[in-house]
Parts: sequence; C-alpha cells; structure tokens
Amino acid sequence: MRKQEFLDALKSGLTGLPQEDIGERLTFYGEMIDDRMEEGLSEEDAVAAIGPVEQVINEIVAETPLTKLVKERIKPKRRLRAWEIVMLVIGFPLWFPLTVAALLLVVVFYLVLWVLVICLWAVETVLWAAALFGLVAAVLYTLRGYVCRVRRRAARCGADADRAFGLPVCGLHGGKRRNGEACKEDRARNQKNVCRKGENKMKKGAVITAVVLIVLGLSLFIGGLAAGGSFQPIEVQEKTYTVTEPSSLRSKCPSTRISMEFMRSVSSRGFKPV
Amino acid sequence: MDAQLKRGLLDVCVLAAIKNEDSYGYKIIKDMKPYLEMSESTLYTILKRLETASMLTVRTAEHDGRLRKYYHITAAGHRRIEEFKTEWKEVISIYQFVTKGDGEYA
Repeated sequence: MRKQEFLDALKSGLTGLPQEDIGERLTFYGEMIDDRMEEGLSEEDAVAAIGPVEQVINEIVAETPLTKLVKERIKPKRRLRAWEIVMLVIGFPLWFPLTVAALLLVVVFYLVLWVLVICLWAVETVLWAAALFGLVAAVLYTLRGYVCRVRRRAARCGADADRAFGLPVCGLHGGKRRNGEACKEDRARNQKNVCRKGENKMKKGAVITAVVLIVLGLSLFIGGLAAGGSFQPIEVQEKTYTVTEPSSLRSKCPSTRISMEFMRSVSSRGFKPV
Repeated sequence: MDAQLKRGLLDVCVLAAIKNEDSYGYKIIKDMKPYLEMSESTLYTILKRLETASMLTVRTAEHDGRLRKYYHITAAGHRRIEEFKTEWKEVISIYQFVTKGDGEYA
C-alpha cells in the first residue's frame, strides 16, 4: 500500500472523530512513514511497518473517549447550501414576524399566569384588611358599650358623661341625643335603656362579624398560599451521565475484550444517545 | 510483559527518550525498541497525555523539505523521572521480598 492510500484509508476509517483529531493523527502517521522511508525503507515497507490500517483505526477509536465520539455524532453538520441561504433571506419578512409573534405569545401567557396569582393574593390581602377592620370595629363597639355603662354611672351621679374617657362617642350613639331641658334623671334613664339595648346588640353583632371575617380571611389566606405554591415553575434537573472510557475499562479488566465492531459502529454509523 | 505493568512504564520511558536531547516520533520508538515495544498509536496517546500534563513541549521544525514535530522535556517531566527513580527503589525491595528464599529454584 502506498503512503497516500494508507492515509486516505485512515481518514475514512476515522470519520466520527472530531476534525482536528483526525488531522493530527494523519500528520503524525504521515511523519512516521516519512521517517521510516528516510531510514532506507521503501514506501511499501514503511507503510507495512506501521501495521494494517484496520488495526490502527481500531486502536485509535478504542483510545478516543466515548464522550468525544458522541459529541461529534450529535453535532449537526451545518453546511448551508447557497439556495437555502437565499430562501432564508427572501422569506425573512415572513418568518421573522411570525417567530416574534410566537415568542410574544409565550411571554404573554406566562404573564397572564402571574396576573392570576397576583389577583388571588390581592383578594386575600383585602380580606385580611377586612378582618382587621372587623376586629377594630368589634373592639370599638364593645368599648362603646363599656363607655355607655360608664356614662350611665356618670349620669346617675349627675355628671355630664358625653365626653367620658375623652372618646367622641356622640356619633356612634344609637339613641337620640336629648339636649337642653330634659331632666338629668330622665336623661340618665333614657341613656341607660338605650345604652343597654344598643350595648347588647352591638356586642353580639361586633363579635360575630369579627369572628366571621377572621375565619374567612384565614381560609382565603391558606387557599392563596396553596394556589401560589402550585404555580411555581417546574425545575428542570440536568442530569449528567458519566461515560467510562473503554481504555480505562481495558486496564482494569485486561481479559475483557470490548468488541471492536461496536467501537467502530459507534464512530462511523448511527449512534443513539442513551 | 504484563500489560498493566507495561502501561505504567511507558510514560517514563518516553520522557527518558527525550531527556537528554529533543527527539521526534520515530526516533523515540527506535530508542525504546530494545526495552519496550510500542505502537504508533500508543505513542501518540502518550505524547498527547504528557503534553497536557505539561511534561513536554512540541515544536515543528523543517527537516529535508518537510515538517517534523520535535518533543522537548520540561522541568515537570524531569520531576516525573525523579519520582519514578524513587518509586522503583520500593519496587526493588518488593522484588527482593518476592524472590526471598527462591535460591534453590531461581
């Protein structure tokens, strides 16, 4: 076999390896053949001294890590032909806006989902505020009842208790305000009755409202949490697979013979990544 | 020779071949021939490995109208040889242990 024949056979046998590796190997073996020829060997003998091409190819493939072979296999050969480039350019006004529109759709869809979540949270916040307001109102009403009681006592004592505790309870009073002439006793009596009735009603009403609002608020808060939790984006886990090199396998189990056919088929023909 | 054992010696042998002067591929194989048989592809892998480990450097020089790659040992390469020499003192003592009392059969 002549030198160029050998190198060509080697090149075709090494398809599947990265281009630079193939180039390096070819230079290396070419150099070897040239050196032997310099020693005095004929071209045929120099080539023969290296060994059969098949064997050399097998050795090279066996020593190349599997990951390199797989990577090379998966890499698409991007050789755009002239007419493909022309088509791409001509069709630009068509496919470009379509692509942009599609991308925008995806973005909008994502945003809509988030708006939904925000709405749920907004409702829940409002209800919390309502519950708080209810609590405050309940406290105030109960206090008013208490104030009414104090006013009664104060009225009995004859003092003007409209400003008891400094609280401006005029507006909240259920009953009509008697001003001027009504005798202090009457005033006290009326205030007593109105206050008592109002007091009980207010107390009951305020407590019930407060409880209902709190329960509603809590349940919606929990519901909101659950809903918000389910909207978390799914995390994609990247799994790395470690591939053991055949050469390392060989050193560990010298008796194992990794089928050369398998190695060659990996490099030259189809390889389906696991 | 046992494949495992041989594998451990190849790196150092190649380094020894370029220890005293720069050498090229075929010459390395020739120099090692009396001691270890090495195929071209094995040599290529070893040279690549030593280069990655910075134990040698490569330069391309012209020779007889064609290009040839010359390999030059580095300080790291020298250190590796020294390591090897120390390691093998242990190997020798193990050898002596293995052959102890083999007088009659040796």
